[in-house]
Amino acid sequence: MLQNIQLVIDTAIADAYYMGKILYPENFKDIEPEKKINANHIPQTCGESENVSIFCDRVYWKAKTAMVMRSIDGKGISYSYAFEGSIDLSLDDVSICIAQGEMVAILGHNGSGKSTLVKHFDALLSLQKGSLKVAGLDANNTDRIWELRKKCGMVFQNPDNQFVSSIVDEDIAFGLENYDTPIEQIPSKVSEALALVGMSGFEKKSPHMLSGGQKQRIALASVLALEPEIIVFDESTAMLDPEGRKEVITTIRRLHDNEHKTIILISHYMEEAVFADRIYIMKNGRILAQGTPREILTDQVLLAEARLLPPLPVRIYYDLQKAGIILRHCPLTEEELVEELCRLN
Amino acid sequence: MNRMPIGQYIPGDSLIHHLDARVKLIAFILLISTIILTDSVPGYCSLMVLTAGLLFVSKVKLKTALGFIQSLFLFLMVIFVMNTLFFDSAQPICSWWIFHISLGGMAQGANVVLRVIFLMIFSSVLMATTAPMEAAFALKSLLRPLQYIRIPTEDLAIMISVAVQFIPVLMEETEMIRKAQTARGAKFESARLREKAASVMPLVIPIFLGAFRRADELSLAMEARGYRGGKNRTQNKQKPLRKQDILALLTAAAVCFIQAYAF
Ligand SMILES: Nc1ncnc2c1ncn2[C@@H]1O[C@H](COP(=O)(O)OP(=O)(O)OP(=O)(O)O)[C@@H](O)[C@H]1O
Ligand SMILES: [Mg+2]
Repeated sequence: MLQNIQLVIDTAIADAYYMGKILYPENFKDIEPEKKINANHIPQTCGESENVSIFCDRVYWKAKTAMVMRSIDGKGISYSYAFEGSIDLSLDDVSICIAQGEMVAILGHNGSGKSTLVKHFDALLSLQKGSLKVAGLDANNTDRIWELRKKCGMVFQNPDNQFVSSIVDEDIAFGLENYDTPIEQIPSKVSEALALVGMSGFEKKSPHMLSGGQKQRIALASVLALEPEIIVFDESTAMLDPEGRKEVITTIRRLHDNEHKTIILISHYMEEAVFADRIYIMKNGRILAQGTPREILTDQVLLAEARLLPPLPVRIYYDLQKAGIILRHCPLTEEELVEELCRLN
Repeated sequence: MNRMPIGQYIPGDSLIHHLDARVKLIAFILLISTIILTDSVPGYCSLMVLTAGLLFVSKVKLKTALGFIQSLFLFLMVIFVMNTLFFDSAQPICSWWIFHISLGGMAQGANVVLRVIFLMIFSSVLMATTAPMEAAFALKSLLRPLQYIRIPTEDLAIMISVAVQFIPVLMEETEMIRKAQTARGAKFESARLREKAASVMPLVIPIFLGAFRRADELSLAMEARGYRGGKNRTQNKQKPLRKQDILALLTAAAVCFIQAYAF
């Protein structure tokens, strides 16, 4: 069985490499596939299907970022709020690469620089050091900032501070008007955006009358109306009740699965990061680690270093381990936990 | 937060909702002048009838229109009492030190309070029947002459319209902070002036900080959605005034005229 898996991986790498090299020679300069990603890298102990799946995920991502267009491609980004060149850095040599259609979670303690980083993606902060490409556009190019902001939408934390109008349809139209959309196209675009977040028929409602989850979905619709490629959520669920949080996360996942949007999710809830394709961990303005949710969220040492708490199922797994009850796999979601627990007897 | 804040647009289908926003703004200004020109009992009676008619036609509930008064009650009381006590009249009912209670003062106080109430009712009706961006657009076109002295009227219009919407949010926040500080022992109800003055600071500072934070976030959100000042935006085509708009405007002018001369 092991051999079979190796064969599959080898073939996948080879395919990805050759296709990628032909299609995007540019992107391949800094990737040495056969040496870096090699089936030999599978740990010898890898009878565990878990490790293989982690490995496959990683290979898949490497192949994907090599082959597919990159939504975000940042290298050596440093930023200081004090003044350019100050040593008081809020971002310190951050490199981040996100493939089109990926869902990436950025985790980190308060003040670790998450918001500062994503504000660069939307050109809300200008680049001080390093290079950044967003949806193929250079973030340094001030002439094309408006194009860039259209490609990359952003939903913020406080739902009450994002509305420019007290009627839903006017608020959604605001973004469209900023891009000089012909007036006759606006109503249809507004209702399309509302349909995407599952709130058709709310055109004439006042955002103030809606629940927190609904408000955030309206804010999301306002962003979606511009048909962005990338959507950044900067702690958009932080102020919501569990019900509203679920609503918003479900909507985000649907956009990722069905509309193939690139999603960047900043959150303090580990439970939300579980659904991401990949996770970046930040600490003191630096990227501490990067990997699949299974790699990152089950790594107690890493999370402790980043001053984060693992998701509840993972904590239970380790607590049980301490008590002498060994589960076969470390569960990430509640469903997995239940499954593992059932398997015990 | 889930109740309708005061001063909000309430989507509807009434005659007033469908009027051109420019007409509504001009009519509003005319009605305010009417209020200021009124100072007799029959004048106020006719204003009352006018208000009733306006509420009926616009289908705005009396409760909505009076929403402001609830939060301004104390303010109105103070105006009335101040006028009553300090109005310098020839024949006071009773006099003590610098206080002169007089019929003239009471009338003066009632006058001011009634004007504020009518003003609030008319603004409520205007805000309840005019969508914010429509209002911004109307404001822009009415302010257009200012363009010639290089005032950015488009930005100004959007600014005003957005700011107006944050009034209820800020009012709510003020109430919340007041409660929070009371819970921590601030004495807003203290009779002693010194304590009262000292208690204002813990109220004012968080409100200002909160407002600045909100403004900051809102401006980021607006920029992220591509706002770059009034230029380059979709230009709403200036619709010509329709028959009912002109009719409404004439009515408002007539009301203002009659009110000013008859009473
Ligand atoms: N406008 C600002 N002016 C000065 N310093 C700032 C500003 N905004 C953030 N900082 C500083 O930059 C650092 C990173 O802040 P940032 O907001 O990016 O963190 P964060 O990871 O988003 O935190 P949180 O989880 O609290 O949102 C912090 O040390 C913060 O104090
Ligand atoms: Mg932040």
